[in-house]
Amino acid sequence: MKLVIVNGSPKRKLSNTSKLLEGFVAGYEENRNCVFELFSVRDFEDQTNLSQMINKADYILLAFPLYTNAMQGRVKRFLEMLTLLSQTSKESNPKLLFLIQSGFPEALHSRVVERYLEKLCKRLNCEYMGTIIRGGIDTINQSLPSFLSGRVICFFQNQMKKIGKKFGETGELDQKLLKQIAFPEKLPWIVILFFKIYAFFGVHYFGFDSVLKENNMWSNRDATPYV
Amino acid sequence: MNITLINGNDPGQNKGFEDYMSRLNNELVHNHDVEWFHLQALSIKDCLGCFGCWQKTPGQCIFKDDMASLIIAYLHSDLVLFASPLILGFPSALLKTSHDRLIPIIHPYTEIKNGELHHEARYKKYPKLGLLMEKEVDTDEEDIKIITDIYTRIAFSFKSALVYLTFINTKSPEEIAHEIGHC
Repeated sequence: MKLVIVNGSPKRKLSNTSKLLEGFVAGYEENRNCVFELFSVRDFEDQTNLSQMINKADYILLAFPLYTNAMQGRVKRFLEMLTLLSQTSKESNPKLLFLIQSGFPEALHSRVVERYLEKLCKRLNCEYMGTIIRGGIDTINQSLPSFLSGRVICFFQNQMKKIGKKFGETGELDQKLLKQIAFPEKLPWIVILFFKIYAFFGVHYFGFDSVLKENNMWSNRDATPYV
Repeated sequence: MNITLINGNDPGQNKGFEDYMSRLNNELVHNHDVEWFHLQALSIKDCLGCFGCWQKTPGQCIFKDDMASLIIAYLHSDLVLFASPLILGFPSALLKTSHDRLIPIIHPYTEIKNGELHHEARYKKYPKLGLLMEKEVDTDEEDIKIITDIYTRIAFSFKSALVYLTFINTKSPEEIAHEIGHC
């Protein structure tokens, strides 16, 4: 099985998207005859490499961070280049799967664009294999001390590893594992309650405040430079 | 009313859309103050996701490009109209890049709205949002629902509401200008 992974994050290897991909790849590679190649979406700024990449892929995994409720402009530009797939048959086209990573913890922020991706596959004559959704890594980095956030991210990577392993075995994304990694779909009431109590005391600002203070910008945090 | 028209069309790809937007602009200027941004002709870099606009220079992007003047016009508008032909069932990449670069206008702090986590407002007032599109041959109801849902969320994230969404295929610029006047 030949898998091509395209990372849509502008931060490439330093990105949260990349951390999740590491887990996926670790599981996927445990299978025999499962090979992969990793690209950045920025490797396809012009069409030259694209056909070559498409020709060697049985599957393409496009992974990207959620920017303002959808794929980033840069990722949309890449999708527009994939239009060439609509000229060829479904049998010869690679199958597509996706990973969406969002700053907010709830999966619901990514669900609408998931519907877009499924419809997109129909347009491109490609089989849609599903979408892995994991939110909250930025929130965790902001709100937990690094030894704890590291552990939580490790936990997500292990979930990704299971998904990758199963994918290598079966050529499919396991629906049960997708549901597990997407948790929570929306914020549980208890979290909302705690958030509101924290917000009342202003404690939920702690993560951003410490970064702003480090940068000597805390007093300037409410700046409105454009009016 | 102050209107900012943000056109994400590539005139080299779709001249018809361009002509339509010029005619619409000619109609709108009768009754409104219209500022027009043609993204293809401007220098607007892709967002780097560096969060500099939240953490290092609050409210301001590290890039010094044409996005600054677009944001100034945006914040001084009553209504911002995004315009683009659909490409693969969604507005152009060019238009989406302009949304990505709007994050300096909101605050890194978060709040719970509608039971979901969202960012807080940075400014006191934000413009209403509208979306003008051109259908593709295969655009169907499902596509329209998806785009509407995504843009409703985008508007909500930018502390606003999507007050107008339409397709130019079956309406004259006069008709659309008239409808916009009632937004």
